[in-house]
Amino acid sequence: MSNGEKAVPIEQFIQALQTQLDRAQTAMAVKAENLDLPLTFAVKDLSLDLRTHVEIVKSEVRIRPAGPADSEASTLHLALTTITRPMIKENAKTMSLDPDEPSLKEAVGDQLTDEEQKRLEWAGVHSISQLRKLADSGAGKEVERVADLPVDRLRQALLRASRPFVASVEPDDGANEGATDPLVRLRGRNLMRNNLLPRVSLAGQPVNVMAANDREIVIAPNGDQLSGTLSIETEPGQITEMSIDLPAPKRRASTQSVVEEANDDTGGES
Amino acid sequence: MTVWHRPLAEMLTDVVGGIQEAHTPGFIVRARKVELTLPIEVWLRDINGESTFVADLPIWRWRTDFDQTPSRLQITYEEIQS
Repeated sequence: MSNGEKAVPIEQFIQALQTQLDRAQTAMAVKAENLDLPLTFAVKDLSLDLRTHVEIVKSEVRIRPAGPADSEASTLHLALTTITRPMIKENAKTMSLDPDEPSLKEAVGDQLTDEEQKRLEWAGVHSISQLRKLADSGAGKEVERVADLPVDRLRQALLRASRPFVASVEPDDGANEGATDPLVRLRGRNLMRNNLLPRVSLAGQPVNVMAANDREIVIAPNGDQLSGTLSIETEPGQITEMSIDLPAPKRRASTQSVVEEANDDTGGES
Repeated sequence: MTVWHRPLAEMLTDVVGGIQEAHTPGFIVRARKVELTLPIEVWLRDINGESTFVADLPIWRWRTDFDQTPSRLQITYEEIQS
């Protein structure tokens, strides 16, 4: 194989092979239809002995071309067979991931290197909820062994991923008709832990928390609490802080500055 | 790689499609299964931004030091209703 001396990920190679087999199948089906043939041929088995170099670059298996007169190349033996629709269903991975859930990279930021994240993916950990589940089940040692990732670093990454993160701040004008203080909705993730209301303060003064769940906190700041440092603590040590500047009540807040500030501060989370 | 090398789908469609076309209605014998073992020269080539599996039969009968040692493709086709 040759691709300008460039190694390619093995998944990319296999996908390209599968695409070509699909195209060949489609072409023959079209040909049978055009020639009015009742029968056509379908791939049953395929085996490929490929002369190549296999290498690992940054925890990724790559195939490097075996050039002309390259007698030291390895032979990669690939065997493919067709499977039925029930077999596809049986072997398909259940996608139980929440579409709103941040990726591992988004959640842990620079707490883990790209290579460490890749090794976790090797171990089947693609999301922070999977990582948390593993840690809660006491399988940290197994992960340490499989992904070559120290338990302490795993714990730090989880701590970082569990910090409260606020993506938007919006005054809730409509829902607070007649109330003394305007309500403000804070939306994001990790905003509540262990079913305990988070502690929220603004400019150093406590703020009433009216309701909370993992994705949203509704607070009722006093009339004079419109700007300053907003602090959210979901459990000891899990605090996020950011500066906010709420406009006058009954107007929609611009969350742009909040998001930008959050992004400036350690990649979106503080 | 030369410009003569084609994506795998084109090569397979030529080879197996030829056998498919050879079917003559009413003729007593027909191919029901095709097994091929082919020497192929393989590359991944960027075609229209897509990484394409290019695999074709060797162009030359006599290989020179500038040619790849071919890989080997073994493929089995079976007849199905179209």
